[in-house]
Amino acid sequence: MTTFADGIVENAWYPLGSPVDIRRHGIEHTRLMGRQIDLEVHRTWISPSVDGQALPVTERLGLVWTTLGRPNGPPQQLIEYYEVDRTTVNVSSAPVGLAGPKVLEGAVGLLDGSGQSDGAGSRQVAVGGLGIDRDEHGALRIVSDRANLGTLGAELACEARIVTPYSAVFAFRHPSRPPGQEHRQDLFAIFCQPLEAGLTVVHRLAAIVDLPAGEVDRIRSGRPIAQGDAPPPFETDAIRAYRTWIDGISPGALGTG
Amino acid sequence: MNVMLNPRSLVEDRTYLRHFWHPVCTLAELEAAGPDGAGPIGAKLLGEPLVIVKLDGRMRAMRDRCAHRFAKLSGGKIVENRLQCPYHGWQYNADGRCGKIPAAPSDAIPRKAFVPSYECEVKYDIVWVRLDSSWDATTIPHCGAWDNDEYKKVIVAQPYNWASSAERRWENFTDFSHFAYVHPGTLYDPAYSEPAIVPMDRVDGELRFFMEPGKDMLDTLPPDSPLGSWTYRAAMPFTVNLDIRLYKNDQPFLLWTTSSPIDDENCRNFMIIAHTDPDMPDSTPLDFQKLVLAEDQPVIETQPGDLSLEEVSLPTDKVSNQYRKWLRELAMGAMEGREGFRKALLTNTYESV
Repeated sequence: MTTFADGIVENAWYPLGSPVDIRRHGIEHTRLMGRQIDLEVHRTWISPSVDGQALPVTERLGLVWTTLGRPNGPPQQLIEYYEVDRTTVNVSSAPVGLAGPKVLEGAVGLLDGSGQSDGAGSRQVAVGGLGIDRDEHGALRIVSDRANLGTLGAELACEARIVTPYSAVFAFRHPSRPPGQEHRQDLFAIFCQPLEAGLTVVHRLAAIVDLPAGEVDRIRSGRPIAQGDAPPPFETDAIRAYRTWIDGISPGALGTG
Repeated sequence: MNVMLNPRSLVEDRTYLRHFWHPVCTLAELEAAGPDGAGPIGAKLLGEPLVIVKLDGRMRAMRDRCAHRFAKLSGGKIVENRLQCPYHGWQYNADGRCGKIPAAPSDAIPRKAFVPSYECEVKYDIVWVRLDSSWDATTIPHCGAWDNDEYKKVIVAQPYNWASSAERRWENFTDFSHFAYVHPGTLYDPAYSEPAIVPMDRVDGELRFFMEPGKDMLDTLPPDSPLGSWTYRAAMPFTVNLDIRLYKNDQPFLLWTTSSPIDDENCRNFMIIAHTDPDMPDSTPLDFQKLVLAEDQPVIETQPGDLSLEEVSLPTDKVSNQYRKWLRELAMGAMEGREGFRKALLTNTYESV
């Protein structure tokens, strides 16, 4: 079972939802790591508290973030999100009956394309076309040439960066993009809000350069991407790399779903 | 490609701006320019030279070029209820057609002897022009001070020109995070350098948002500083109606501004100030605004007129980011035609509710 006593886990920032959704639906409470979070909505900000104690709060990436611990820095940075010619989409926020690290394990499975097996079940399968390493900050980096991001596109060249057991960013090129601006990547991100052990709200967003207007609805209406997707029933290179990485920073995080 | 040497523009084509109403001069300026407040007076809007003149009892806007030898009509005068060119005396009627050519009084007036005229209205004691009314998708922006009994004084300030694009001036007026650096001790306490990221709505062609600076700044800012809760109604593309509820006395105070795009690199700015103190001399709020503008102008005029996609934006730049996104959508919508433009301008979206 994922332990919330883990220092890395406790001292991280977590999203509580989109400020637009919180205002629109009059959401007054949510949960984080087994605690009730009260939300007070003001005209210019949203104030979270637990047991009457105000919590740190910031708004980034179209989400309200807080922490129950003492983070070293701000929530995950994704400066490209604020580029003016990107369409930013809060794809969805929905609960799944998995721990955050298991959600990410399923998301890593997207990098293996369709994840088809030969029916052999649990035998290990080495999937080609992947590059795996760690960046200078210790984040896991997996590069695939056949990722399947659902309504965002299939058979995509994609680079996933996994910074914490609760967040992942996928950089790819959306099929709608006209030629030009080859150096720029479109982005899809998953941020997990751990409600309880084994229960997580998965916040998913996209930031896509010059996305045609009609594509927003299509992305939102399609089958949710990386929302509790079960990893393939065999261990691919990507999943093995992820399990090794997470064991190194948060042992036992994948213990149960 | 070196993006600093070849920055991509936010908007490649600014012709969509011709579909909006823009101010060009005040009635006070017309009063000063000619008898009976009829002009003529010259102006420039989106690179187009205009002459503003009152003929047949209505304000008119025409291209400021005589059809004959392209002399500026704004240097002429009103004769026989026509606008007379200062060079050879050609006289133009209210509809822009030439009605008299003194050098050839017996000849028929050529059909090409006319100057294009544009839709022109007076509102808030300001003359407004729309260069392209073919889509009829826009209205003159709202000013909360006008016809509002709550205000005891409404001051239409003398317009001022900046060597800056209208887009840059709009952003400057609504930029929260520059206050601490450009206006320390005037509008803001440097301790408040990190602004709130506020919800923003698009309503009927206006960007609407609310800002609430720290009340404890009352102790450090001058008494004329309009510190209070700030409600913005910013009619696209260049107007801001800033409705302030002053902390010091809970009275309303209104700052209204519109930047008029002279061309890509210059703007003409109009301001209306309204307040509830009938005894306050006009010079008090006007002098304070002059002080603020004198702090802004030398900084803003160092920026290139063009807004660029290469500029680095932060989460706390939300207001200008949303503004830029909307400008871009308007420009792209206009490329699709009337319906695309109307949809981009008039589709409402809400974050605050």
